[in-house]
Amino acid sequence: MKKKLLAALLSAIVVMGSTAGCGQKGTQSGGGSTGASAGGNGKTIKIGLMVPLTGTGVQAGQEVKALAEIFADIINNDHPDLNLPFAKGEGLPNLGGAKVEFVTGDLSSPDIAMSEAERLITQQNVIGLCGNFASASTKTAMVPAEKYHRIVLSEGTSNTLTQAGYQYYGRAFPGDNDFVKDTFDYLDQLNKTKNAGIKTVALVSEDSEFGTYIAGLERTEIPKHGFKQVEDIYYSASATNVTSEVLRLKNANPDVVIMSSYAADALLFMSTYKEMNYFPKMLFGQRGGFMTSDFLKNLGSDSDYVMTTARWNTDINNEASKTVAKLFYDKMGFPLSGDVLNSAWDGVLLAAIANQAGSTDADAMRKVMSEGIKIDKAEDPFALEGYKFDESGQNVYGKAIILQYMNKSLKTIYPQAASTAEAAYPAKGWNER
Amino acid sequence: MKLKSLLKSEKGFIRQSSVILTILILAPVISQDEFFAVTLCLSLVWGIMGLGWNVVGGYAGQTSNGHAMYFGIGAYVGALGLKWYGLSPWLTMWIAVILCMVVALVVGYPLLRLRGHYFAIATMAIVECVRIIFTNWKLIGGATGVMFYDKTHSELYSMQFANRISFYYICLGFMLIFIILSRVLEKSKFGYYCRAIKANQESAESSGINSAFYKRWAYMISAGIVAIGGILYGQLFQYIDPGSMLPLSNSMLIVLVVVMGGIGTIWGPVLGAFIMTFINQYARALFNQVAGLNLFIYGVLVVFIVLFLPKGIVSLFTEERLEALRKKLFHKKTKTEEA
Amino acid sequence: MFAQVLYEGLTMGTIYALLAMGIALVWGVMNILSFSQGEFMMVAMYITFFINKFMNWDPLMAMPVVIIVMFLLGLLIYNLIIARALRGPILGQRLITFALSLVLVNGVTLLVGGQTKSIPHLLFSGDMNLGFITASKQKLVLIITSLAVTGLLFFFMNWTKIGKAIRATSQDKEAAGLVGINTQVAYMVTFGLCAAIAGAGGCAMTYYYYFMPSIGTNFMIFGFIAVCLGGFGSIGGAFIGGLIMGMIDVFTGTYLSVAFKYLAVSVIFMLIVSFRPKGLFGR
Repeated sequence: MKKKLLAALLSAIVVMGSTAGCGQKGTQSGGGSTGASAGGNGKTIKIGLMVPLTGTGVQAGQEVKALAEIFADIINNDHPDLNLPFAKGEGLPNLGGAKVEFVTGDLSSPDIAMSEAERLITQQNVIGLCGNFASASTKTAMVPAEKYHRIVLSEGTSNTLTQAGYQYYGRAFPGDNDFVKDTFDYLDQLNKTKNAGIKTVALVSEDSEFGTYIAGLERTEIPKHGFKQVEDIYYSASATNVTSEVLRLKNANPDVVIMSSYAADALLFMSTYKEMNYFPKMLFGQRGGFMTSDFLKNLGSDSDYVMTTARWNTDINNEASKTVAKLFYDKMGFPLSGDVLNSAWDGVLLAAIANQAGSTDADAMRKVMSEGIKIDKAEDPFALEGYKFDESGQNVYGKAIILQYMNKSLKTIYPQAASTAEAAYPAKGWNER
Repeated sequence: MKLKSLLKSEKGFIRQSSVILTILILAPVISQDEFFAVTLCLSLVWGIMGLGWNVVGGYAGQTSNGHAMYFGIGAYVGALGLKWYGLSPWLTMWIAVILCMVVALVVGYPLLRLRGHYFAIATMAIVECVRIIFTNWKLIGGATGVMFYDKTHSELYSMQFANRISFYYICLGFMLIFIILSRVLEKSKFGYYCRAIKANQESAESSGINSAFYKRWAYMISAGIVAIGGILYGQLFQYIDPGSMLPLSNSMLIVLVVVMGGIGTIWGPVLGAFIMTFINQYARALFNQVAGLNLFIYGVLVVFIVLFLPKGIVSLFTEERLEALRKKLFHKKTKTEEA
Repeated sequence: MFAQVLYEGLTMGTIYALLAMGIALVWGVMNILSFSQGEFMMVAMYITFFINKFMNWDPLMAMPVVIIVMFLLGLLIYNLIIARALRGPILGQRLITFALSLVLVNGVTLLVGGQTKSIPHLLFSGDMNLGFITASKQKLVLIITSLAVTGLLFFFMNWTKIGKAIRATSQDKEAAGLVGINTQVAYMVTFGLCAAIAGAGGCAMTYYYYFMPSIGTNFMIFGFIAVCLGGFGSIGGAFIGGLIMGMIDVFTGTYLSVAFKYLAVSVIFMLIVSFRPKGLFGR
């Protein structure tokens, strides 16, 4: 009896799955595999939102999802008092008032990203993809995107993405070469203006695409600026402990430690630093784990002095930025992090691109990207000069900034024009705080 | 003369298999959906790997928890062969098989002296080693992996088909070969000795069976079969990286597939592969609203199957049921022919 | 620095040792590989966190509670799942704990979310500068807890009736049944014990570790290798194996290359197991 029940259950699941596949096809409005006019029948357009549903990136993924829902609500309903794109009126004006719906896809690992991207494109008929992309998962998601012609906006920072010759790829914010350049320019500036005396640099990078690529760039930059590299550590993001790594750093005693880490390992390093009573004179993170909500939440004032490159910060003096930050804070109860914002903002950009093109056809959308998306600077939380994507997919107006944790919040310290606080260097050791 | 008697002795097996085979051949008809097609191909790939593992785990009784390494090596050989040298996977698959068999021989020498759980753990340690080596080996891409979408050669040459259904039938062909191979092994002296070793290695040795020799060959053959699975998997997605091919969980999944399906049987691994892959894929598609829900459901289902169907899913398909199904399928055909 | 490395190696070693002892216990008695040991540790961490959050108890104070809760959880899981699996074929048994680990990791994600958590206010924190090494108090708590738990375990296994019954069952199940030992109860208690050991480890680790649902999985390979090093059936061997693992981990990472420290662990494991297939202390 039990066996029969189980057999029935299993067959039901398989049948359910297949019919789900069939059923989905039925609701598509003629979207073929060339992606000619994908699902834009004037009622709802779907945008694929790729977030990690398992593993260590789950929290950030949920935050991006929450923010995307906020944006969808702003676009779809009339919010005359908000100064954000499409807030006034319902839906997208150039697409007959079409509403926007974000459909979730799993980004837990690069291979899952690939099949999920394919599923979103072929089953859900999304007009494009956005989300918490890392460089590795962007590459795999681009495989079906290029095949079926859909735009992917990803903030994976590796420059292998812009060098790959993709047709349907865009990145609204800077890539690693800009971030690394800014990092070293800032070090130079500190040396010049504040006599910081920075001479030695140590690199600590996690061993996937993200870390290895940035480390490669950093390694070439170090001698150019006359610094000396005293440590070059690669570690596994799934390590159980980073004791030996911190011991080596302590031994080498560099002036600056530049780290590229994800959420769990960034915290692991911080806790190991604390209990081995070591803190470098400058701890410079390259976004990633250093920009997650968990970082500040768990460290509190232990996060002081940590610096990181970024694309946005809550202290940007801009109405749209403050509005978005407040909406997120009201919904979630903790501050918005820049990385969450740019992943969700890519979704808004996709809607804006389709709206400006007047169609959801990928080639028409790409053309709009090259010409430049018309977004009012006053309605842009990033206050960029524009969104114009060159041939490689990079937005030429993307800006990088440098932040530092002070008194349990992030402050912009570079460039001078955008800075709201004076950088604190050198950092105080744990005992002196 | 020999063929006739062979067919006669295999009558039962061929009848059962024809039913399952018919279902498999007709499967793509159920849906034209891409996702369904990918899931089908994926199921076949896992089925092939399950069949491979079955040789060493099911027949010879040595639980290897590290078979993902042959999966990985096979996939890399195929990927790099195409990317660097433009060699067709039809050619590189043989290189992959031989390479994996050699690796299995080398690895097997020390490892197969271990018994039971020791062997299982040792294989896990080895596959972790391989993963770390691949992750840090810049020449073959390191953590970045290899992207080898091939636009220059014909679809058949590079085995990269825009229409996954064609690929499905190629994979089905391979699977058929391995099914026949499994049957041959099972019925042969080799299989007989392996079963003896599985039952009790000491008694087998005291009967004069060179257990080390047979265990080693079982391991090597399984490595070769899994290598082909790796090549096919690579061509399905045109992207491979150590993080997605070689984690410990992948090796465990191969074991899972076989145990779910029915260890030591012939169609068991294939059945297990289909069910597990479908559940995995569709759980992810259906339950993506809440983080972690799809894997949770997957885990719960596995627990259920292990608890309530200890002999595997294949035990649901008893002789009688298959016969009944066969009669339905083939009698209908002959009826329409007569009419 | 050498002394510091030694100290750190010992600390890591005690964590691996706790995991390994749990695995060794279950392996020795029931002949199953417990893949979910890391997850038990993770669940214990979350329980400690919630006790701290709602009742403001320091993890050390909460530890007895955590151990008891984990013990009960182990009993429950044994009765619901493991007992049934043991009646089936061997491979099913091996896989059931793997599936269980999937369920636990994602179940916790569903219940609590994927945020990283930590315990902010601790009774003992800060460092003690002992001249040649800087001993963090948090890690000291971990070492002492681990040694205490090991000691308790030894006492239990060698001096109490149930402990001896368990050892008898692991040596020969049938004979144990013949002399009147209720093997079912022995199995159940064993599983509860292994969950409790993991629980103690997890609770102590909240002193300095950040945790999220997927934290347990990374420790498993070390736990397994440690048990193999120690040898089948020897809990003391597992303890020593764990310490060795910790040492190799930290030493190779510091003096050789961080990237290859896992490689070193595996290679050394291969070597030891090649020359002593039954491990250092196995039977």
